[in-house]
Amino acid sequence: MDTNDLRGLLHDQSVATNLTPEGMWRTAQRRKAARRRAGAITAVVAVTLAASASAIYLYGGSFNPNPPVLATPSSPASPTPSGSPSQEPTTPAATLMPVPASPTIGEPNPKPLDGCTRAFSESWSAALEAAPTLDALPGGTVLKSGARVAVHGTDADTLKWHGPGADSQEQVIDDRASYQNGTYRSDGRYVVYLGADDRLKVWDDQAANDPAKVLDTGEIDFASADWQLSNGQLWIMHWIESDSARGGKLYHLDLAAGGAPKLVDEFANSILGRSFDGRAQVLSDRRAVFVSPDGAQEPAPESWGEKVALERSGEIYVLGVFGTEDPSTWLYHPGWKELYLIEGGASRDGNGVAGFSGLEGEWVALGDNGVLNLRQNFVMQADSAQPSTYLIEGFEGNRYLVREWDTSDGTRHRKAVKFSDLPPVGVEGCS
Amino acid sequence: MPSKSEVQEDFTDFAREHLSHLVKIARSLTGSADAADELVQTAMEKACRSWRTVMKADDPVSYVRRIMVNSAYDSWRRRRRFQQIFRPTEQTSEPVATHPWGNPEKTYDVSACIDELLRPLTPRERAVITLRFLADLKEADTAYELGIAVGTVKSTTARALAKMRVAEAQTIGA
Repeated sequence: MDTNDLRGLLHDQSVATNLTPEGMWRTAQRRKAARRRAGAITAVVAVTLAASASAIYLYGGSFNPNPPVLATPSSPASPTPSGSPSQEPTTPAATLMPVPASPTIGEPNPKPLDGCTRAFSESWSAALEAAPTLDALPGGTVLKSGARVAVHGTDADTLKWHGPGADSQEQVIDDRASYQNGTYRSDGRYVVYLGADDRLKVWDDQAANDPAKVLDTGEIDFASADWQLSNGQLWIMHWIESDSARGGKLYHLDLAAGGAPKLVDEFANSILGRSFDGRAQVLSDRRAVFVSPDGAQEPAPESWGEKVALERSGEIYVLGVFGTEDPSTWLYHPGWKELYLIEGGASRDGNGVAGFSGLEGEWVALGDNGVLNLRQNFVMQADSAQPSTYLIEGFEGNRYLVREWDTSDGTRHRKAVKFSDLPPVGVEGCS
Repeated sequence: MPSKSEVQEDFTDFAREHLSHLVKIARSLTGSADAADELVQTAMEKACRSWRTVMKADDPVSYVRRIMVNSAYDSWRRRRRFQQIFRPTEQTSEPVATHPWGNPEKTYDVSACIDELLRPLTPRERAVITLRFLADLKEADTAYELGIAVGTVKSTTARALAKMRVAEAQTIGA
């Protein structure tokens, strides 16, 4: 197959559609009328609100007669009750999601435990409530400094640094970054990304005012290359097409030392996974192997099978399967007998819990389902009256518990608290 | 100024003539028949709001096509945000290949094959492949339509083709 074959394939594809020219016109006119009705209603509401506000101001209403206040947008709704912690429910929440038996961290032969569910911690809710409210950025990565990098722009080709506070402090790192999924990668300090000229660039959070530096990557063609970094160690996999296999050349560069990447080894049928502890993770012939800068290789444990490590906290690795739409993940600990399944979807079949969205120590964020404690085997459920999504973001030792929620206008907001600032929470109140 | 009935007639004539082409483009951009229909409907609705301008345009098809690409981008951004909630890291899903182009002797369903080939592509890669090989635009025209550099079109095309080769090897076997 060449590009002519591709052209033919695209042109010859079937055109199965339920659309008709007349139907499209009718639908367009119907929706146009609906928009006009909605616009008219909005205008009436806006006029009414403006009239009410003016009346309050003109007649010295007691709410606040200060004109600048009338011009200030209202703050977004809080995801948690605004009352004091003592007003929060103290009784356990109803069990919505049974917790499966989980292994105990560190025990070589853990006994199954009966999981339970409790209400979300009041102290954690209070800590999140006290944190500044931030607009949810489109993606992004929390750096070790607490700052954040994210892509922006209509074409998502602008890379920006956002300060750690709520001051909306921001700085453009590059407005001509080349967009692709995962185009930039970070180890919490360095950010490495592909420029619009297809040259690899590195930006250092510890020298945030300095522009990104272009790396001397020689003849590596980033049309068929990927890169990862960890602890300042950059790994690049450059794939070379051949008749029999998709061979990959693995290069390494210590970013602090600088210079050009050095060829470390070659792998057949290879994929570059996420790096940990400064080592590359290569999936070669469907088995993961960790590669040190000196070329030493350590195969992943047998129990991983064809899985690859996506994340790590302490001795726990989060595993997933490459090349699949299924976002199910598994947790691995060297002391556990089996992998621990966390399903990707909202459903549950009795062998796992749903919705992995981050890991820190014994805590696993479960998206809309709350937070799971692996050591004591319980789930703190999200408050059903305040729909929120829980995530854990950041890097080892600098991870944040994040709560995100949508306001009625569809705007997404977030609050984040560093895990080390959260008070201990136990199993009390579980049912 | 054309009357409303003249606008309607021109709109339906245009749709009748170009619907299959627009649906193919939408299918390539979205990877789904249902989403393709919705994308075409959305783009035609947006175009309908200024159809008198579209009628005078030198190339009305490219006008509607640009609306489709922009609308698809909006949809991708919303979906990407949703996926990030469930995925711990941004990982490129590079499928493993055992042969660059797979086994050409194996037969396969064309539509399903296209979906599989395009699945690993990013939004921009999909857009570039669609404009280059389905809309048959030159590199410079593709760059103009997407608002990117010609060099970016070249590198994006190369990257997308490399991914599609790997995907093809997985789809139809080696």
